[in-house]
Amino acid sequence: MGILAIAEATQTMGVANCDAQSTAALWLIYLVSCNLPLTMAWSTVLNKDQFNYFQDSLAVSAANPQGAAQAAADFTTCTADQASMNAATGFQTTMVQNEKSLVKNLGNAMDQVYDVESPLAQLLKQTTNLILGFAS
Amino acid sequence: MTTAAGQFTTDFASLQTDSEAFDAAQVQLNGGTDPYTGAPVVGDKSTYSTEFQAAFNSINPQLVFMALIFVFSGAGFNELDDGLGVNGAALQVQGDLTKCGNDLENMTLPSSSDPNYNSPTLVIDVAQDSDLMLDALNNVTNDSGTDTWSQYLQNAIGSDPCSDLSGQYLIIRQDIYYSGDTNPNANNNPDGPNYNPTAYGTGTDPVPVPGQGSSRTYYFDPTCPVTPSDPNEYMISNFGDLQTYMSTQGDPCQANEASKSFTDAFNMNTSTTQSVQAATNEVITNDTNTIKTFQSFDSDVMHSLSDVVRAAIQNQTKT
Repeated sequence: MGILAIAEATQTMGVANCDAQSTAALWLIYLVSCNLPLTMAWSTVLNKDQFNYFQDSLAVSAANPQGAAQAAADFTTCTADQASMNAATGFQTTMVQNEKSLVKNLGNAMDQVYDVESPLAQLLKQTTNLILGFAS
Repeated sequence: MTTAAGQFTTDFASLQTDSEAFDAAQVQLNGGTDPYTGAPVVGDKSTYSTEFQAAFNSINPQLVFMALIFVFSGAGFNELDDGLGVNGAALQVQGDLTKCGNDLENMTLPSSSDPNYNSPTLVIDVAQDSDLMLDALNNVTNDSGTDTWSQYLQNAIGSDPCSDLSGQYLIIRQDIYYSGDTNPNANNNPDGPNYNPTAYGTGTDPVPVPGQGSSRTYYFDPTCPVTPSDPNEYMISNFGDLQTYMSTQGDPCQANEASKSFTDAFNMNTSTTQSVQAATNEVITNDTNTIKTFQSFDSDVMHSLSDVVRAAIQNQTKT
């Protein structure tokens, strides 16, 4: 009876563990689908910042000394946006890393789920041998 | 195809059934009364008394000795087997708990083709299902007053993990506020005894307005305006908007923080159930190995007995 209960429970645990892994995978897909448009949006901003900086840098000349100040302002904007992008996307990247750790742990736990079956299988084998030994 | 909300209902029902089965297995182990029929449960150990009575009364020291060995080893074997049954039932409960947590997490991750993707329904479902989990983990009597099974649930996973899981579900639950919330124990429920308006806003209106009152401690309110572009949407009203906001610059409605709060709680939940399962697995492996030892002992004794009998027969034959 005990062995049957364990076998049934092992099945439930296996299903629950797979379920947890698929949920984690689903969440990763969800997060990536959030992260891509966010990264794209920030990349567009950064491209524009860099273009402005490049354009204003070229415009600096003796005839246009105030252009240097404009270019410096562009550079500051670009640096600030880069930091904001890192903060915004980095937050999600951290979540991805945490989820990856969870999936790895779930994979290890899956091994343990079926390790429980090992001594039970040995017990059944021993029981069979015992019966066969007395029957012969 | 079953929805995540429908799957939760199924798995929660299994949690109840398996918690009751755990209790029945415990009764079998300890002997006592069947929790459902009220009939006394006869332990396996007592069945030996009649089978070996003749051997005990035979006055033959060899037979009495052998009978004693078999009674003790057999009783030990059965006790351990019943123990395996209890641990198996506990594993079932732990698996159900994991599945319920997964179902809740799945509800927060609807696909864009889900009819409730942009609907507050799923947010309310998550809040109400979290309430069910909190009631079960805290052994709170539900409306029908028939949830004695939550005590069995606590016995199956232990009080500390129960408390940990409860704290994790509370984090999820407290991220959601909605007026009309019927759970009297939710701290976010303005109609409940635990509600503290100063924690969530000021005055008679508990909904904080940007720039006014105390800072909020929750992210979701299904009754907020649902148009993402609406400047008055200061709370996340549905999981579709959560995804939209997470994809948008400026972190509207603190969507990233909201997602992280949920994700961290769900991940801790999974880790807790996995840890409990690992501990139970250790016990099962140990018990199984002990049963093997008992069985080997029985086998050796029986072989020895066979040898003695064989030698006696041979001696008898010679004479």
